[in-house]
Amino acid sequence: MQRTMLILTCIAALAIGVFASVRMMAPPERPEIGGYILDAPRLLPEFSLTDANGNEITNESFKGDWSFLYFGYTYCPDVCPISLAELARVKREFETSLPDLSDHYYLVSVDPARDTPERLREYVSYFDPDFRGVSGKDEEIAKFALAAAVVYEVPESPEDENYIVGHSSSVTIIDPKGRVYAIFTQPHTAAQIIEDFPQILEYYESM
Amino acid sequence: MTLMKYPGLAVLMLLSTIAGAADIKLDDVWARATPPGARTGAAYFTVHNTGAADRLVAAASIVAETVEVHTHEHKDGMMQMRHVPVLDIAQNSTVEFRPGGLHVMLIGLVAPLQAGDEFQLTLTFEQAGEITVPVRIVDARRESP
Repeated sequence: MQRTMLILTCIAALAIGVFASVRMMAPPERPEIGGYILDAPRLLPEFSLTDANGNEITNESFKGDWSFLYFGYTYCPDVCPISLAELARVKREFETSLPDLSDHYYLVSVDPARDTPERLREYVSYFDPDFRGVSGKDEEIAKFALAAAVVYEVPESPEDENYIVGHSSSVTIIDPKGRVYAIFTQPHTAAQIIEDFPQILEYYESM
Repeated sequence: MTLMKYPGLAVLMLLSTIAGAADIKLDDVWARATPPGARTGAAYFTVHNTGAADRLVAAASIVAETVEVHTHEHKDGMMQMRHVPVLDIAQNSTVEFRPGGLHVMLIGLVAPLQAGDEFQLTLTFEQAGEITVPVRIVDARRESP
């Protein structure tokens, strides 16, 4: 009887051990989101831009917080205001659902010729007083955009000041280590981001 | 009302059916309120054509220097706005202008579009002629139009 108990105990212990080691070995499953989480988070390259208050903002500035970036321009009448309004909804939701989250929201203008810091400030604060506008020299914006998986096209010699800029319409997520971590692709609605981001957070913390 | 009382009207209705004239109506007409200092805006609506094929050939409003029909195209990973100078409206069709798709672009706004206000938008169709509609300005940050 005692011997049977011992064997059973051994089997149970072994089973628990195997189960535990399998769990430890199995990598956490990458969540499916309305876009993708990068295979390897990409550290931002060095760049120097200007925020809407005229202060310098560099790749280092993004460390310590979760950042939600939208690349666009203020003369954009349709997709940019839609996207910024959606991000404002996300921000309001996370204020209650993720109160400990340190998050910031940015419009990165790829059209610095028209989007002066004053113009940017006026524009982004319409969507939320805490939203940040960023722009700067073309070559610096290009470095940031490339890392953020954003493509854009500003006409080289526009006919007048009402030119149109083509750009990716996506939301880039930068993690607190200053790395491009995930991209939400079209239509990146507030509902989608609100649903998916907590999973991104969980996945990040499990790594 | 019976058509018998208005024989003229009955004849007109019959004639328009025979001639296959376009019969265009617009509804859900709205524009997004714009941030301070904005130079551009967008207006949306639904075109209902219960008649023959027609074409939208012009748009105008006093709120902007230039008013154009634009659409969005996904090209090379970008959202590219494209001017549509002539938009075909098929017979018996509904064409929806909506955020992220077809829209009337207001270029060179005279003043920001304020939520709660209205302005007049005139659309010119090749067959149906000029149609002027009031455009409701909506704060799309808060309410869904």
